[in-house]
Amino acid sequence: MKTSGSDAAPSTRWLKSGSEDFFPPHLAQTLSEFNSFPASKWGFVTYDVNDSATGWQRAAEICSGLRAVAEASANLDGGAKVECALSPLSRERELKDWARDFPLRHEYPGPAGVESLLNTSLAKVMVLPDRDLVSLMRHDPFGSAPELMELVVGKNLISLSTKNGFLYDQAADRIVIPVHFKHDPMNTALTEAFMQAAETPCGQDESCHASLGYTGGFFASVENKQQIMSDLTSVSWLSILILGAFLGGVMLSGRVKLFSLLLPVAAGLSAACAAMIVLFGGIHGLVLSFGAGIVGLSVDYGLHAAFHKNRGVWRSNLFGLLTTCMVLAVVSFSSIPLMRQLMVFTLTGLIVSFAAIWLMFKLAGERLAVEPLRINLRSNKILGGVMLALALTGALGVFFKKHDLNLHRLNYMSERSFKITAWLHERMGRVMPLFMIRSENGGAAVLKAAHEERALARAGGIRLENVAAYLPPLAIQEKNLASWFASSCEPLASVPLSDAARQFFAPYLEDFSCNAVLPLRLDAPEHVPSYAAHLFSPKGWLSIWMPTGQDQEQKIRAAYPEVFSLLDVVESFPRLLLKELRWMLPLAVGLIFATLLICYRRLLPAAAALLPFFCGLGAVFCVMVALGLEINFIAIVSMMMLCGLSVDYGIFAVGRASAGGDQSPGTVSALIFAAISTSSGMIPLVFCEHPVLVSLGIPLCIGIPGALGGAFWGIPLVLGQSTTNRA
Amino acid sequence: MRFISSLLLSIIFLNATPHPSEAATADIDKIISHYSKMSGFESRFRQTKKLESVGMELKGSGVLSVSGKVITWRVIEPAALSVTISPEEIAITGQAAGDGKATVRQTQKFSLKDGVAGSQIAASVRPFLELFSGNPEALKQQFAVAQEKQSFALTPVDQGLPIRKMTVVPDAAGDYIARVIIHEKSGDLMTYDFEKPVPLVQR
Repeated sequence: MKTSGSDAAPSTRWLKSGSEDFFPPHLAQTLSEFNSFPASKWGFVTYDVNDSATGWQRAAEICSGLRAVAEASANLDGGAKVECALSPLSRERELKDWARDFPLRHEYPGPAGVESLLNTSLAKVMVLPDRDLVSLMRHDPFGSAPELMELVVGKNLISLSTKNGFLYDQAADRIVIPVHFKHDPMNTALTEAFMQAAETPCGQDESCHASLGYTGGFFASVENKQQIMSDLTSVSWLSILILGAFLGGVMLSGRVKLFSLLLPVAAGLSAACAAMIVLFGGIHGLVLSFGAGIVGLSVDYGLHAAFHKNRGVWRSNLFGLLTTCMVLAVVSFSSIPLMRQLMVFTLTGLIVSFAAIWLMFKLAGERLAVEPLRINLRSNKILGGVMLALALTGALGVFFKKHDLNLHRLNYMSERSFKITAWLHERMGRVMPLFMIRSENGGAAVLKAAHEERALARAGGIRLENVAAYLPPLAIQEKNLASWFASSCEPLASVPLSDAARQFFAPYLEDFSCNAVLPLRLDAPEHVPSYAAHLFSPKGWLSIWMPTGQDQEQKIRAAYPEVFSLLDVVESFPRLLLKELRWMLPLAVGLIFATLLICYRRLLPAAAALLPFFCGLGAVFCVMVALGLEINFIAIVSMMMLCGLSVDYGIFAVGRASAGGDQSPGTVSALIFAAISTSSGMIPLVFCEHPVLVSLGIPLCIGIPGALGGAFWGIPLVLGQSTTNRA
Repeated sequence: MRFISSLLLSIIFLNATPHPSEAATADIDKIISHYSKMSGFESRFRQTKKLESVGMELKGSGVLSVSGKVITWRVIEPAALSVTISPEEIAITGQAAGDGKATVRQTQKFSLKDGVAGSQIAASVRPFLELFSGNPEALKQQFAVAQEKQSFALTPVDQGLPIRKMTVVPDAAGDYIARVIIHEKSGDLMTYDFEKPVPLVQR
């Protein structure tokens, strides 16, 4: 899953979409701090050139297109940088600052040394055919550009050669074009413009399109959004068809009054939104999406009352609400902010909409009653036996069913992106870079610490990108500066340079003085030089360790326990969730059972009311095993919805089971309408490609029929010859 | 009989008169081949670069040496800088700032294994490899040759090179290349005046 957070919310301020809410506060802070650094905002466009003239020509066109978008975006949200080739020209500002700060890094070489360096640069100018490069060299008399370019190459996560000016991997026959974004990753429109620019040179050539690849959080956001939109567009006709058929069926059957149940649900949703804004300052998009579905379950209580002419149902409804609230209350103790928010949202919504439905029926009475369907469901021992087997599967499956709670399972990746990402990980040696953020006060402390890191890295042969690569310690800077300006504020004025050198390097020499070059204390943003700015944010300074193997990684972690990889942060989510589910699930089921015991005061009906839940769960597990699917985070949220509605089904069914084990038409009608109203919204999701949508749809589409079966045939079988219960 | 003799003579002389472009290439072939007679050579040069954008001229001098497939461009004035091109790599050696006060001699290397080097400097020096390779066929693969009044105009086949045209001027006897003028795409002009090449002493 893309781990980029959002610094700026989309158009509505209260609607959040970042990933920080997936993590406990201390990890969310780490992620937020990391995302504040320019160094975190890289993406990569790859192209398989096939080492042909056409391939290289296309590569050049792709590059031009990307550069055009970058230039056009300069005024919007900051300008991106496209590095088609490692050329000093793409780093003009950094090079000028680097050249200006030459005296910070090097002692004064004396007049002869200065003359020698300037004449060497002039000699290079004489064989340099590029006018832009010549123009740049006027600002770099000491020839310090190669020093900076070597650092630029050294900080790449993977070693690539160059060919025809591009970063090139010979084995894969692939070029890599780094793109440094400046905008918010949630602003997918800008990122899409880059992707469009890369695709345009391919025209109708499908093989060319297939040779393009994208990797990085920015591109992942676009791919996810595009796939969700594509899925929703392609299934929207199905949604309209199903919903239309359901609503049409309700109208044609003369049960239009049921539409009035939507009003309390809307009231519940509004109250839930208001509560979120007051308590949390906003609502996460996922909370709104999933929470709305859970709040919508309150319709079931209205259906139950409507089909029973509002007689004797509210005790069952109340216990149904209580059992659902038990699950939500238990999960609200999660340390994962998103889960807490989801539970608060749904609890508020459910309680308010339940109260609104009750009030509506209290005021309207039997005027809201509708005729039940003319269905008499007879008990069936064979079907009842099947349901019991399904329930057993559901109960045992919790312990044995494979799960993968990693957030990356919720990330849609196209086939080509998957291929490119796998290639990148392979080239990185499958060892992730490690990050460290320093927020010491004052530049001297930062530089000292950074140089200590560098000493460790040098001793261990570990690649490290930190501010120490660009600046010596403060004491050394001051010593070097003193050597330049000890006897004069403008030492170069007295160096015997040729007229050609003075004229050519005039743009640099005119500004060179003790007032122009000062020690870089790094204690304020304006003191951060452009060539090191990618490592700086208001949160502090970033160090990027690039270990090549486990032994190097262990050395780094031993010396600096505070280092982290993005994988550490992302993998903490499933570990935490699993740890919490291990006590939450048994507790929730136990509390539900205890509530049911209070309701029925007998063991058998209480156990029977849970049957639909386990039948639904069993059906879900059977289908997931058959399809080779694993339980992920979204499936768990979906199963919470299943728990809420299926226990309600169980309570309704237990309450109305006749002595002969047959279900009353009112109960059957209420359950069928409840199941159809929930399923109609979920069925289209099963046909989607995005894992989030599929994971939401499958458990409910399979679980609801399973729960219904448990209510219709399982409960009568279990209750058998027992008399009608009080609820 | 007389008529037949005239006819035969005219046929012979017609065939003996070279086509103007063939004459051009034949002449440049002769000049280039002169270098192949030497297993290696050195030629001193003086260089002038006219920078249009800055409005100034830079002057320098050095020694060009070619030995087999290795060409070394050794600048002496304004500073000691050498660019060595071999089939595998390009090495640029010159003075650079050291750790302390002294400047140090430093070499930057660029691999040539896969084609065009990333170095702009190498891109401008490489045409000389073809020019002084002693192999006219290799030169014609890289440049289209056209005769001008007392010189030859070489236009690069590779449009990606930063050079628009090279003007090659032979010495009076037509034995060696006395002047090369490089017309850069940027509008700048580089002029090289070469002395007579001297064979490298065999060791």
